[in-house]
Amino acid sequence: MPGPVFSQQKSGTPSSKPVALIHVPPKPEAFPYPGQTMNLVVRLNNTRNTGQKMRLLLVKDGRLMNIPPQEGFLNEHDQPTYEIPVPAPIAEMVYQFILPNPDGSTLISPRYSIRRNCIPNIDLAGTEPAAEVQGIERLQNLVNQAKDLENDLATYDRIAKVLEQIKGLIE
Amino acid sequence: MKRRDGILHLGRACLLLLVIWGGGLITAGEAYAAAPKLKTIEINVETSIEPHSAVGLLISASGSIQQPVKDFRRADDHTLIVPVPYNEENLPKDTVATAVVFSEKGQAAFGDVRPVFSPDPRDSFLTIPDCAPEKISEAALQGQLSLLESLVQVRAARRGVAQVKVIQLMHDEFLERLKKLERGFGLIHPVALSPDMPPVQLLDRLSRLLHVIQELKSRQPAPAAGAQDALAGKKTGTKDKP
Repeated sequence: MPGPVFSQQKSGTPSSKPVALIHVPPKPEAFPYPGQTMNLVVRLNNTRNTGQKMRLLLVKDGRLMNIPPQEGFLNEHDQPTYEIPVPAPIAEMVYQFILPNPDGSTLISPRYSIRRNCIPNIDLAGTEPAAEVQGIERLQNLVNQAKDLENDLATYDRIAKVLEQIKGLIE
Repeated sequence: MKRRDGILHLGRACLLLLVIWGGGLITAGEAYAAAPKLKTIEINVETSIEPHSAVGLLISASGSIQQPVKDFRRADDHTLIVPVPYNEENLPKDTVATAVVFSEKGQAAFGDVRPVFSPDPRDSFLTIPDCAPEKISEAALQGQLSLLESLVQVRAARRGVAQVKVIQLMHDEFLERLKKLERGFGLIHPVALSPDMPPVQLLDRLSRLLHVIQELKSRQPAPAAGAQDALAGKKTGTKDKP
């Protein structure tokens, strides 16, 4: 996995050092369950300006997704930092950071493309254990079932939160 | 003499034939080498329309190329897989591919957008294997059977409560408004929004809708009329699309 990636650079003023976007793409094995929120973190070098909102161009599972522009904050090293919450994909996500500069130009990061190594089970979990299996196989089934139910529960909780958010915005 | 000349003539004719044949082979070889090496990238198109024809689109900062598509196949009731051919030598590295499927009546469905030069060699994310269940050691779960059964029962009950909560939140009037918002924002899906949908799919639809509304709210200029009406809960007159 690559370390911090320095994107295309663009100077704010001719005399200053160029501002650079730094982002470490998350590893696919660190993706949460599909739909759960994960943060894409990007920070800026050679500036302390947090006045510009960061935009994210995101294609999640092959479909373009609007992500509202995010405001930045200064981290402990006084670097402008942006944490952009995005829903985890089922299979893959492709994204690019876009930062408008005060002079009207735009700083654009490279395109990052991340794919899961395997697709998690997204079917609704069954509630009845298979009666015919016994021993370790039964235990294994129960553990998987409990895990799947936990994922379902987290997904429904998230759905309820999103519904409340939509309601709050449109009423 | 005549016989000797005849043999010489025959020999020359054979040589000429060989040269022509050999030249033909070289020309064919050159033509083969010059032919573009076409690869394909598979694009998923989520639609329930009956496909009649399809085209592929290769889009980059320097322009777009339309590619004819010969055949496509169905992955399931709502997903078509369209292989889009491309010549990698002529394409910029930032090229993305997508596809449009047309029905006989002219309805169109747009496919996913995929980077052509993805570092992942797999054709489509449909080829990614399913995750294998986590293996547990028997020793770790010795004597835990009844506890695990209880855990499953408790979680099943909690999931049931969460499902009911979502159904109650998505009551008729609000659900209709959500559907109208989806249409207003151009978020077209083959299946109507419903609390009975698979939860991951439902969450994806709602998250997309939420982000569009948040984006709209974050912008000062007036939104598009259709979206504005939908937000205000007015009837838009937009026809349902598949």
